[in-house]
Amino acid sequence: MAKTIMIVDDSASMRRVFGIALKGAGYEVLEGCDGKDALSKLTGQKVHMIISDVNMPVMDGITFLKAVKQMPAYKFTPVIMLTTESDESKKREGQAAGARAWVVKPFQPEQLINAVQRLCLP
Amino acid sequence: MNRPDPALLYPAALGGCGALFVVITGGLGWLPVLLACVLAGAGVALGLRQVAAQTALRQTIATYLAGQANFGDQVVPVWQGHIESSREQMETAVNALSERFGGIVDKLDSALQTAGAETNRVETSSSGMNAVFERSEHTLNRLISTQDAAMRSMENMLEKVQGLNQFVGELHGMAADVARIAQQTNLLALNAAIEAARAGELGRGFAVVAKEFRMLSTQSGETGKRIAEKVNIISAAIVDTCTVVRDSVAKEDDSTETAHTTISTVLADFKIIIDAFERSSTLLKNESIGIQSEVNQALVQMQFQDRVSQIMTQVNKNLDRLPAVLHEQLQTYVSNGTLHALEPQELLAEMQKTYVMADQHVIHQGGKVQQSNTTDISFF
Repeated sequence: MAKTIMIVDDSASMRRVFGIALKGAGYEVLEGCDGKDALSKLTGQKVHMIISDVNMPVMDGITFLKAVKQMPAYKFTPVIMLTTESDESKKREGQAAGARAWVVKPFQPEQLINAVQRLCLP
Repeated sequence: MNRPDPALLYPAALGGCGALFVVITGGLGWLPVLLACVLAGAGVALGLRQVAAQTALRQTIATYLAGQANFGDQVVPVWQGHIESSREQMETAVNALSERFGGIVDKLDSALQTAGAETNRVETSSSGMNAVFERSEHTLNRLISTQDAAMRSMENMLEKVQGLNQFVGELHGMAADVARIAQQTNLLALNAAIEAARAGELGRGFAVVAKEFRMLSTQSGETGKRIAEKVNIISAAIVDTCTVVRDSVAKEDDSTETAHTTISTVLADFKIIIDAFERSSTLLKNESIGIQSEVNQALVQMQFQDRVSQIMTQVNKNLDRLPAVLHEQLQTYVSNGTLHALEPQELLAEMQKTYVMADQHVIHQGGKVQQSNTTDISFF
């Protein structure tokens, strides 16, 4: 059975790019257009990984990450922050909040897939 | 409004001092007093003129600064509108493009999966093209083998029928033997009849036997003739049969050869079509994979939209600061008459704080962004 990965990004085109890369590698994809929308879609089903943007309207990625880590069902779900943000302090903030990796856009699909395979829950 | 500059009172003060000096040195005569009055009046007039000139200059500067602030108030929102409109148009267009490209990728993926399944079915299943070809080839070859076997059977039959001819010769010999025996028997019966006649009454019984014996001999001779006739008929029938069978075998042989050649040609043509179809299918599949890969790469390149959109949003926000700076300059001048040149460093420092991408810092420092094909990943 295919593993499910949630993509959280306010850019529809970026969600599509992620989706194609991940579906091509055999994953199923769940989408959220910001942190709040993504939280509303985490309703108990198994999610093997979350990939989230940082700068988003309504609820930013770091706030979303902190909220996810408070949810018992998703406490141990690995989260990759995928963002244009390269500021070190932001990166440390993400690490402190529980992110497992920080990927700076633009990304090469095969390198993203390698990171996903390395961190994805079994 | 700010007060006039105290320096503008200097001409009036100088005129007053001059008038006082003239009165002190010249006394209170009408001429020194007149001169003092002229000096004091000229000083005051000059001072008033300078005050009026400075007031006009300040008014001009204030109007200029207000104009600048107004310029910022009116032009900056238009720039922002254009930037935001461009950003939205780009986002809409890239979203539409990515949706279409995504659709193409999905369709290609679906086509490849269908083609793959179909190719697999054609290659492996019993109703597949290769299986049908092999089965047809096997069936047709079996048909030719059956025809070959029938041919061999007919040839065997021909040999057997031809073999009968030697028995016909033997039968001819036997018929001739029968005729010769009958002739000799007839001769013998004739002699016996002569001898019986010569014996007279005593030979009467023997004469009857000799007569019967002669009749039997005659019948044997006729039987021999009939046997010879029948053998001739059989022989002719065998020859005719052999001729017909030989012709038939020759025709069947030609027919078999023609069928064999035709079947081989049809199968070869069919095989050429199958091979061409397989090559075409493989080529199509490889081309589809290539197109899918190219489209995926094109989609990856669309990540620029996210980055450009963020940069444009920040440029838009930073433009917001410009009218405020111009208003601040006007307010400072209006409140205390101080005129400061616009200070870019403070604005630049504020802009720098808003940057999120390394590229923005590079560009801010006047550098050029280097394109990279590697992804910056940090694992925690």
